[in-house]
Amino acid sequence: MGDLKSRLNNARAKLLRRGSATSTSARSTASSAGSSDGRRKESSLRKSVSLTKLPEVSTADVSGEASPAERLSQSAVLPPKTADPFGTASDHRAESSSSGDRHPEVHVQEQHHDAAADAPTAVVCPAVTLEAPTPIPLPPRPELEQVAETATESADLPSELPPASPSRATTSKPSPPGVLRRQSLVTTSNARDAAAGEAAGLGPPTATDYFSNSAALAGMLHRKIWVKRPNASATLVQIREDDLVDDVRDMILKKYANSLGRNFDAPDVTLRIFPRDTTAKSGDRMLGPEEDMCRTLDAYYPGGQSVNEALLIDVPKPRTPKPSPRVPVYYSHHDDTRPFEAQSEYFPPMPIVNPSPTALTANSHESRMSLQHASHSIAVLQTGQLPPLPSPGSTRRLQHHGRPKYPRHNTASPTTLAGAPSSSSASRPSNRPRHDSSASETKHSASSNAALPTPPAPTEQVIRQNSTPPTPRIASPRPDKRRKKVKAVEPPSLPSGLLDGSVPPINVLIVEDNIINLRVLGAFMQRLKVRWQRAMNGKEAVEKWRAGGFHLVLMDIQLPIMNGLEATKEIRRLERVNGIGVFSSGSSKAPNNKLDGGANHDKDVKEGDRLGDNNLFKSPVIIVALTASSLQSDRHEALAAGCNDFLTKPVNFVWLERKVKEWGCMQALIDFDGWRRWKDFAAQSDTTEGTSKLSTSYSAIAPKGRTNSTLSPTSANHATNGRSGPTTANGVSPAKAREDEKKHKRRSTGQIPPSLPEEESSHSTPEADSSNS
Amino acid sequence: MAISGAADTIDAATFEQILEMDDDEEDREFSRSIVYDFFTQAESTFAKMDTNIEERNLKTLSELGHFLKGSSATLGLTKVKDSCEKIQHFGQLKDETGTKDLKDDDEALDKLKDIIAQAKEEFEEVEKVLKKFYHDKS
Repeated sequence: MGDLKSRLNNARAKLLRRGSATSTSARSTASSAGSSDGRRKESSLRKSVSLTKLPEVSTADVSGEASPAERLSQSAVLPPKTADPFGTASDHRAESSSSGDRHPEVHVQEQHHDAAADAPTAVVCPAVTLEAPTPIPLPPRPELEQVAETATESADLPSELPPASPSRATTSKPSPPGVLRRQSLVTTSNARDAAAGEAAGLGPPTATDYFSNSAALAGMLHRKIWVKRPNASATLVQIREDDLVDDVRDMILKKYANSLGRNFDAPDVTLRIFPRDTTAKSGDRMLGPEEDMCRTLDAYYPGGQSVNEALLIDVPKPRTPKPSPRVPVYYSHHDDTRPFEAQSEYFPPMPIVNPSPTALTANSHESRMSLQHASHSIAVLQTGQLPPLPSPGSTRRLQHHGRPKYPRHNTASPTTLAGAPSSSSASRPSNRPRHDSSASETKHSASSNAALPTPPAPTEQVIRQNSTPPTPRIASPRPDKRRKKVKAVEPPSLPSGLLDGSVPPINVLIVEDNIINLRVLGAFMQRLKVRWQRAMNGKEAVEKWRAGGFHLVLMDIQLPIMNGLEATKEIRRLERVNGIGVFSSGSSKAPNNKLDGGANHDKDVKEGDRLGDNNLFKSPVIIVALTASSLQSDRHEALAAGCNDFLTKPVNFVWLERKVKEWGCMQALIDFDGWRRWKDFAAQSDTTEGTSKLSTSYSAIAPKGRTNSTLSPTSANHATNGRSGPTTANGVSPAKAREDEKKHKRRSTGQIPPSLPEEESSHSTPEADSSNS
Repeated sequence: MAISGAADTIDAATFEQILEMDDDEEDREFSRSIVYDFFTQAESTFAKMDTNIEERNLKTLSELGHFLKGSSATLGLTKVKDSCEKIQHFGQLKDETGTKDLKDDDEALDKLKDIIAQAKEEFEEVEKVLKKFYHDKS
């Protein structure tokens, strides 16, 4: 308890420090104070909400106070100490006491506390209780004079109080909690009278009430609270002294068994409390399910809850076929003089807003949520603060737990939030299938669809990639931009994310005149376990391409002898005249002429243009331009020349890998037989090599084998071809390739694709060999 | 993997992806060989530039600028890359942004001499940084 007390003192000190702030800032700062202390306290206090403990705490605190001035301000924050876990009290009180025009009520309250602190002589309870039985509703707030008048009566209260509540008997002084506590006692037995009495704002009836209620207090500690539906008449609901708002909702549903109980569950119901002090800049507030009902009420309505202060029951939108947002008709509640009969409909007439189904895109959800919360608009006017928009789903719940519970204003209770979206989706017409629930999903897919500017057949690639996470194809942005982006996403170590073995078995031709770039690109291809060859200029590139078997060409644009654009155009021309792939359909020849072994187009194609084995040219090669400049015009030029895609130098490896994957997957899809062979072989090599594969593959990649070989362009050229030659491009039989691989396990496992028996081994021609070397 | 003192001359992200290809973070065999190859390449390219300045061979100078631009960009040596791009432009009788024409070869050659000298300085600067980096590692 000492620990608790110190914390309470701490919290109070914080609140006191803010006493001079303006009301809005007081609220916000109070919220921060609450966030630091409130939550910890709650756990301990929740258990000690019992009557015996609290008075002790507060009295001890009170007695610790010395100076009157301090006590005065302290009284303003006393409720937080007693009704502690419920930020409403502290928040509201601190605010109202600091606001410029103090409401009478606050003064009354302060006097109560002062009196309580000063003990026997003071006005502990302004027992205007004699008026209690009068059924006429009185002005809800007591005047200061009234308190003064009752001061004489209060003289006998100290003597009465201790016996009134057994718990208080243990304390030497009558304490402020007594003031708060008293209200609940009143309402137990004689609800109607008590309500009337509370309407006078000074709950405590006669002293006899205390005595009669003490028995009840010892027992069940029941209490009744006023609740009402919007614009309907209020009713009393019996709750227990320690009921939480959550329990109250259950009781309400029992009470409204027909209108609410049939359609709503307790979590759907929210309760709204309206501060008495309507002049203060605080609007109504939704009660969180975890709040202690009685304490919140005591905090809000210190003298007791009057019928006009009934809690407002909010339920989600009525489950009418058309989802219509809640309309702020509830705010007529402020208008307390309105006769209750005016609108006794449970579903008051409201304008039906019918959102058109077509307009319901992903963000329509948010807009609808904000519509629901348009009912807070008056609170916005009052507070100048926009209430936070709740977001649907369970994450909200999590957020809620992490959030300070204290001075929440105008935020919906978490259960409602969780409930509201579901109910809205449930009430949606069936012609709008799950827009809300999949909002983020559709949004996401839409955006990824939008980011697919590269022309050819993105769908195929997506289909094919079932084994790998789909890599959304996005045109390579300018280098600086994407570098940042990639760094944010990329794991620190390259291999883990990239070498997942999902790169298809493609053969890449790297056309690059700069040995540095070539080595870097080549090393990266090696990492991807992609076979690759090199060409140092455009002419060489065309020649190598003519050897066949390439799926992807990374084409530098500015090259000696024949630049990349010229080489691209030449390759496209050759593809066209040889009737490869899509170009065949555009030509006059039959599309399937390549299946005839080139016999058909022998007469049409010049001898120099004829390609070799048509099995090596199942489809047009994919040419990805590597442009040094980020000029849009250069890109257009590259695409116009026949490139399929482009990357900006310096090539970002993540992007390169994506390009290799996506284009390679396309090609693998086209050449399905080859891919299947590769899969079979890969599986086989997996089993034969077992676990050593992974570890060896890393050591087998480029650097070690390559460093000495690529120092000069010519030697590197030989080395590269020599490396990939024996196992891949040359006409090695599958069996031999496998054998070879086993022999050089450590070296060759790093390049599984090269040693595949796929196309090269079976289809390679002498021409290919000669052109490679 | 910060390279000290090279924040403005080396683009960290680009260089790091080269470093990530190293199998061994201690000896950094691959990136080291790349970087030292680049040193060799740059020196020989600068030598070629000098002779082509003498021969007033603007086209070759532009190609050399582009050539060195490619490799310096790959390594993320931004300053050298930018200078090489200017060499490329001047060699094409364009101004340094490649948008306006220069009036004659003499102007281009004057500018080329300046920018090549600047590129050499920047290269030497980054060479020092990189050598220090690799010596520190070994």
